[in-house]
Amino acid sequence: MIAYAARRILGSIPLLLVITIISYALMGLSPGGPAAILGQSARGMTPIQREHLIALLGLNRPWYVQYFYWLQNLVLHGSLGYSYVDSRPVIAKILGKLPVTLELIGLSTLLTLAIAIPTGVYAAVKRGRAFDEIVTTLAFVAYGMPVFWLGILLIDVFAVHLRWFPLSGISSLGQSHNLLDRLDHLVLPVVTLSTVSFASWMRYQRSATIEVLGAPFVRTAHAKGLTNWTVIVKHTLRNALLPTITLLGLSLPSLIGGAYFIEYVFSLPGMGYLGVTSVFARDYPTVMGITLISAVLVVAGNLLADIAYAAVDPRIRYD
Amino acid sequence: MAGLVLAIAIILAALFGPLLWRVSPIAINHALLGDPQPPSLVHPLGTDMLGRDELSRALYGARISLLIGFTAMIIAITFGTVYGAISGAAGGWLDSVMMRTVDAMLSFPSFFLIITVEALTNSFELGMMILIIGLLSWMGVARLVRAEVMSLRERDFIEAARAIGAGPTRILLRHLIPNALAPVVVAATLAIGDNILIAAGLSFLGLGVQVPTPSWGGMLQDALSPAVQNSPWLIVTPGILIVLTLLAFSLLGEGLRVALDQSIVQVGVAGVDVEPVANAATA
Amino acid sequence: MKHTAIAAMLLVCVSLSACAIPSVARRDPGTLVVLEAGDANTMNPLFANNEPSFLYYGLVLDSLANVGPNFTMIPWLATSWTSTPDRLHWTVQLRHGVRWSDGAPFTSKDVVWTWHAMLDPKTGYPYAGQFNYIKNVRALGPYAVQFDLSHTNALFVSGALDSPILPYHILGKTPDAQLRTSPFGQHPIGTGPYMLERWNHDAEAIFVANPHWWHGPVKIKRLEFRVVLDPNARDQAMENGSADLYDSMGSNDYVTLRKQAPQLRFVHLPDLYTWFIMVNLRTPGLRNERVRQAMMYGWDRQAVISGLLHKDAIEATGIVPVALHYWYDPNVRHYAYDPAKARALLDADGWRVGRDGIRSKDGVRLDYTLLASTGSHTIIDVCQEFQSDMRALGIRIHVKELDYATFIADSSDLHYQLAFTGWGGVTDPDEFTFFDSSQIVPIGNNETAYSNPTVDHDLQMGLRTITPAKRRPYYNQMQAITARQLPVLWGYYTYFRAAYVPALHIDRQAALPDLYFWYDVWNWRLDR
Repeated sequence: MIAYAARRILGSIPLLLVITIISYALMGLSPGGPAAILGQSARGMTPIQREHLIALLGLNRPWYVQYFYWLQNLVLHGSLGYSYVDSRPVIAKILGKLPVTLELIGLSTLLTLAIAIPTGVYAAVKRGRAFDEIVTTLAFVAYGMPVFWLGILLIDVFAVHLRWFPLSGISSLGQSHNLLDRLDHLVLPVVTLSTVSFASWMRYQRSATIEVLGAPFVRTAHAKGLTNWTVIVKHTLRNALLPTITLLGLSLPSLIGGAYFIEYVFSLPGMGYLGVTSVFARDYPTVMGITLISAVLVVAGNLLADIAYAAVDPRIRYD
Repeated sequence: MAGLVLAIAIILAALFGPLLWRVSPIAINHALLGDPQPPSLVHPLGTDMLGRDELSRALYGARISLLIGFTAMIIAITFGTVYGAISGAAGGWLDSVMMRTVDAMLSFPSFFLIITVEALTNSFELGMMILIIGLLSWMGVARLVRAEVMSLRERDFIEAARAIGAGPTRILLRHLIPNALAPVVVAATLAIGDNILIAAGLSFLGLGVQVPTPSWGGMLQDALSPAVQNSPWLIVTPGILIVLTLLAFSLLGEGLRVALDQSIVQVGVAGVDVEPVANAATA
Repeated sequence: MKHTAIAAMLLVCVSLSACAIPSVARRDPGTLVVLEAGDANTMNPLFANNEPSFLYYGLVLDSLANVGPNFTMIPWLATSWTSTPDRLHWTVQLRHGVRWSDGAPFTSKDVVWTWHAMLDPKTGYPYAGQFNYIKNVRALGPYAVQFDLSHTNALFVSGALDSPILPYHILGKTPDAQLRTSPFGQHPIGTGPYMLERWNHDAEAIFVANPHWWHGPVKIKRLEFRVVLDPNARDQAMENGSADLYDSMGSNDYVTLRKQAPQLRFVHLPDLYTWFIMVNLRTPGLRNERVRQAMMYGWDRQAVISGLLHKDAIEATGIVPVALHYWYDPNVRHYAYDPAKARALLDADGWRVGRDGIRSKDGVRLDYTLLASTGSHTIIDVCQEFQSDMRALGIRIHVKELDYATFIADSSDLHYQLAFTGWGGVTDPDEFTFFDSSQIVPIGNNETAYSNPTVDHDLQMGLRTITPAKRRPYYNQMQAITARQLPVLWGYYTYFRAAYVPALHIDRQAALPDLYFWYDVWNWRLDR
């Protein structure tokens, strides 16, 4: 197992290289250039002064040369460089934003799974019946909602009118260390993200369960006279969880990208927010840092999914 | 069935709606500037910040949204099918390299990639937007087609074709791709809706279709202006249109899947169901 | 099963909300809580690039001269400044006994080093070019500094002496090329009224009174800046009293709070910015003065202001904002909305309406692209309104939204036809770099390629003349000519708005707009 994990990690290095090269090339070839790094001062500078500054930052070199220096800095010094916007180390900026995003994604994945797995199993058992139809339609409706639209509607109903939850942000003024306050602020964002991802998880679980229900060993179990629920819980659920676990690793990149909309609508200072503002500000080092860290998370997510797979299903061996 | 009816209704509304409701979607009413009107007989869906008729914008917006949905889907499906078929048919190191590239593409937060490309190429033109959405969403299809082709490759009728001396290109075009078509059709149907969602997300970020061209995402984005308060109709209308359209194509895709006798699990494992998660979470 | 799940979820929700966290936390009555819409990037003035950065470093760092009432310059770290009659050599006397917040003494060494760092190209200070007339800065003993200029510049006191002074004993060892990444920007040391206590990015920045401040103790001992990204949440915080001050607010928030929180006090002043549509004067058609005048007459700016800007803006007549009372000249050509006159102007000039409704003459069609920076609903709405007004004249406008980086790159390199933008934030009427014909990009900021010998002369004389009364006629003439010739299509001036609790005492009569609002923060008082 350890050897397998090590091989997988080594095997992912070329993948990471490809990802970072593509990102760097995209930025290097873009028009507009890094003018935005100057923020509001860009307006008052003359083009000649801007050229001078761009040269100072080494941004007038071809992108592949810049990429080389970036990689060298990363490999030799373990440094992701400094942000162009505020001259802070990129790693510090990202670490400052990561908790919010991880909390958001983590909590919403838990909530989604907690609802989607039982619902999916039950819909599979009641396949073709009213419950199945209704849940399927509801899932499609939830799936079709632009996530920012849903967020705005929830804010309007639960924060503006009912006043059950705070409007936005991650904490109340002066309450930045209050855990309960933080959770209170996360309820609506988590529910929003869970709602839109519910559909896929539920349908996944449902189809996986349907397949397992038709499998010979389940029929055998039934024949042995085990009750319906025992069969479902003991045999079906266990086997049907497999594809769901795989999906967990695969859905990570989209969750990170998607967290942006939630973070934007609910004004949460997270990594998605940082990422998109950095793209618009042409803050290359920060964009690269976020791309790299997201990619590492994705690779790690896939790896964990595979290992979990093995843990759930002893038939799978790695060699 | 419901999906088919709904989808046809939406397409008809997009095609013929603007011919029946002949109010300009871009005419600004100076008297109503900055004062959005609630729905009334004159303006059944109200007016926006610039006094423009919301119904007319919704109908024209349907055209734009469907145009984006369909054309980006065709680009993605075409590219993905060819890519997946070549990869699956070739096997060996070429297959390996091609699939690692897909992995790399999928490891980007997909939406982030689209924003990057769009912000960096700075293309707010409709054609460019469609191209970008299409070219960045073909990976699921490629995986799906590759899996189909790989499983078909070993089947008897391919063996037979090979035995009678058919070349690889001929086998690919005449046998492998047509046989992998069913899951592709299902994926294509779902992709239409997904593309509309992605386009709405881009509009939300200010990367949408150029003003004053109406699009649903753009209308939603307009409605989020802090200046537009107490005008719920502006927020509700485009949102519901998007949800209905997505629902229509989801149901349609589901119907096709059953009709074409596609095992759902097979499709899912092959990778298509991964994309909807991506889009659901991002858009 | 699903019902159970929903029930469980609801239970969690309800129990969470029932744990009713009081929305207004109890807080220290002596602390002023300020709302900001965004966070600062750095407090190093050499690299500060957004409004909150300028505001924050202004609390921590002092300059030699400071802005006083009515934008006059008052002695600050300097006690006096005198010059030779040719205004080329200035002697600045420094205040004795000033200490940095870490206790180190402030001397001429700090001033000389700061200027050396600002002017060294390796530093990458974005505004270094504005001070290219400063040839040399040297110490005359520990408490006097001499500035040698290459030519007279009217902006020396308000521009150069207004620059914040940095601590030599902290930064002097850092090579200039590494100043950008120096941690100083996150942990500044200054001679100013406040010191940074804690800075949690995108959340809060907390400042406490500097016990060493030379001016004496400030009255408000603690300032807490809270970053609240959501405008509705900012309004709510002002309404329920969890914040005390909200400055630089948008007109929507101002309208909302005036209605919903009448207990608050408000500041509402014309600010220092002018918004306009920049014209690339090298564009066929647009280079024709009568076309531009017609566009001005055909642009219903009153509708824009009353409809889209909450009646909270003023029609602009020129580059000098109305906020600079002394310099603003109202007696220039005004363009009241008159589409008939606009059409007549175009007809008389030979622009004929074609079959597609677009005017043309000698193969030149009045069909242009208007660039706008994405991100502001209001600006995009204003642009669409302009588009519709021009359409009625027979001029086709494509509105093109660009992200900020590309907008800056395109609009400052004459790669555009029309661009909606703003300009200002300074207290002097000088616009040499914007209108002088020697400053056409890429040399300067003349992004319209405007060239008029009389305006050139006015701008150059205005910079060379020190006495305000003698400068004024030059700037009046510049305003009159640019109102007639329209190198840009003048849009509107906006307002500066702030709301605060009655317990906060601000001298409202002397209040200044924009960042200058904070110029007398040391004098503010909080009674509760």
